[in-house]
Amino acid sequence: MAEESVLSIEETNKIRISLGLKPLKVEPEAAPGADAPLPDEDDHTVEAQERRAYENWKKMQAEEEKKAKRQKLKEELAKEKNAAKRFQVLEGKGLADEDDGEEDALNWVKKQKKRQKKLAQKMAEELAARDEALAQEYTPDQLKDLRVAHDLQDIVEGRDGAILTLKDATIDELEEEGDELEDISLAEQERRDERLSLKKKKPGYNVHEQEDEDGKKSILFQYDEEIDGKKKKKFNLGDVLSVEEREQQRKELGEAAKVKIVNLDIPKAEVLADYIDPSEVKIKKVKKKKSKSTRRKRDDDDEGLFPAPAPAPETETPDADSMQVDGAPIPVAPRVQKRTFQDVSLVDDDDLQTALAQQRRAAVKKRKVLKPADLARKIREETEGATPGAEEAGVEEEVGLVIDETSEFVSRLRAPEEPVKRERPSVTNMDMSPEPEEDTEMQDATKEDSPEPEVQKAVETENKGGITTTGLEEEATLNRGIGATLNMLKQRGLLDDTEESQKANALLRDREKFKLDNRLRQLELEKKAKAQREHDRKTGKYDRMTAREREEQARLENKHRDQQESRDLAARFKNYKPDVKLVYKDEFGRDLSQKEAFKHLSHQFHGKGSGKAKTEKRLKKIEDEKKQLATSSLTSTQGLSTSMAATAKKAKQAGVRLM
Amino acid sequence: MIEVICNDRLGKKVRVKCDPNDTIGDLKKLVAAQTGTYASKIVLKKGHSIFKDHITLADYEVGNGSSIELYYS
Repeated sequence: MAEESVLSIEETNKIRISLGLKPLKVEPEAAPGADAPLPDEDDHTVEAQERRAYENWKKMQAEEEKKAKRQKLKEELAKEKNAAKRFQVLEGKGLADEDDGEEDALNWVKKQKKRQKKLAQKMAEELAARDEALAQEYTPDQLKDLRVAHDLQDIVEGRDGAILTLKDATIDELEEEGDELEDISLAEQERRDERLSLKKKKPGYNVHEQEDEDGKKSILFQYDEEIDGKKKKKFNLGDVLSVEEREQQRKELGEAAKVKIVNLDIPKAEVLADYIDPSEVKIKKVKKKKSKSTRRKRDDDDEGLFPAPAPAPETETPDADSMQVDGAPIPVAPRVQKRTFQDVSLVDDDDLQTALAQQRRAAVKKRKVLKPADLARKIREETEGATPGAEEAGVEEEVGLVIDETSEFVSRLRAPEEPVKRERPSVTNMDMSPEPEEDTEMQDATKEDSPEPEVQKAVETENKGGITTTGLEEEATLNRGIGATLNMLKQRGLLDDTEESQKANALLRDREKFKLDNRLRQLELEKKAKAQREHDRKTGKYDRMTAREREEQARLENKHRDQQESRDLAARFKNYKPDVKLVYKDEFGRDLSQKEAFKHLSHQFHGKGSGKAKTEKRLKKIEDEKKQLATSSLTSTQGLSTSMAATAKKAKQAGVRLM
Repeated sequence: MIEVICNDRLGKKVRVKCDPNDTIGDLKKLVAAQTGTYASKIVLKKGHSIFKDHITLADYEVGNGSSIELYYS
């Protein structure tokens, strides 16, 4: 165990001061164990705090104790008071206490008189008040504005007057309508009538029903009650004339009616005329429609000043050839010409010409909706059907799309190839049409299978059909033989006939020829060997030899022949140029590019193909290619047709199709 | 004033006089001065809890004569 290092307080304080801390308080050791607590509040030591806390606690405890004591005292006091109250003696007279004698019988009698007097007085007062109230007059004015729930007529006609009482009503009704008077018997009767009418089930529409006094009736009036509620006959007491007055009125009216004189003369019967009196006739005037002035309003003051002569004789229709217009502007005064085109405001001649040209072009464009392919077919049909003269006429009559030499020429501007193309068939189809320069072997091969004349004819027709009278090259089809097919393929740019391909073709041909040569020579040699053997056998060369010698001889000969052959071959292989090409084809027979081939091989190697999406994409691409191959060279939807574009691309020629 | 015993059980045992209101940081400085080490290298522990520098001894309830484990970081 190490020594405990201890520093004295002074040392510690030194260190503390050097560290920037508060020095420790030096506690006086003189008062150890002294209970006297330090009174200073600044002392924040734990002990001091604890001490203070204890004091506080004690103080509080004392206070609480005091409080409890006081409470107890209070309670005791209250208890004492209650007890004192309980035992307090009630004041006043008790039942058994002696009376003073003031309520004596005699006294009571005496007082009774007084009391009676008082009562009588009171009664008299009451009676007087009542009399006073009665004395006030009860006039109809007081009943004014009171409502009665019956028709006045009913009340008057009732058997013996009516006893009106306040109507029985709910509070709501009272608030809405106020007090009403009614006669019970009358109300009862009304209700009865109502019920009876309901029982009768009258139809809503009554032909004989009278109209209102106004002469009009509301539509479907039978439902008015249901919609608006019942209309009640009511009158206010003050508003109506009294019965006597009414009687008076009626009498007066009756007298007035009596006074009226009636003329008894029979009026003359008028003869009805057959015709309506002209004065009665109302003629409906038909309003004349203001015809719009057909004259065009002149918007130019200018024109007013110089009234134009009748529209200048137009030498030209707007459909006329634009070339002509461009070349020879019409000699008509330009101003007049200007007026004839209302919708275009033109400044000078050049503008006019351009505008004209634009219009024409637009017109032509509109007409040119026909598809070129359709047109071509049409034309072909015509050429087949009609005589040349008629055809020409037809062509002249044709107004829509005009395909003449110039336009065709323009559309075929990429044509430097064309003559070559036309010669082509004879070159590429040499197996079909033998020519003196060709190899003999090839000739042999072709001669064996030659539907020659037919093919040639086909080619000829193809060539002939190449340019029709319209100048339009006919669309090549597959139905006329191999030549035509090849031609078509070439036309569409599916067969490439560039120099390279030609070279390649030549090479291929050479190789084929070489192979054939070889085989033929071999056959020849074999034949020769056979002949030799035959000859030997016949001459009996082998007869003299033993079997062994014979064998030996044969072997020697064979060896010799082989040697000869190989020497021959070596000689011939000198000018053999192998053309090595690695070609990969996919399952559709398409040529695979290097990349694709690698991919294919890789897939095969790893035994894992591309996913669904990629496969689909590839298949789509292939299909698209096929479609593109199938499109005609003439059907073009936009710009250069795809196949022609492909051709141009292959030939590395830029071009625009003008059609 | 209280006295705290700091022991590293490797040969150093220090009795440090300090105030309950001192922070642990102050105590560390005192211990460093007394033992001759750097205050920043001292770690004071009690049980598994490491004392933090800005908290006072009173808050950690370190009283007179209580012992603190002394480690070095």
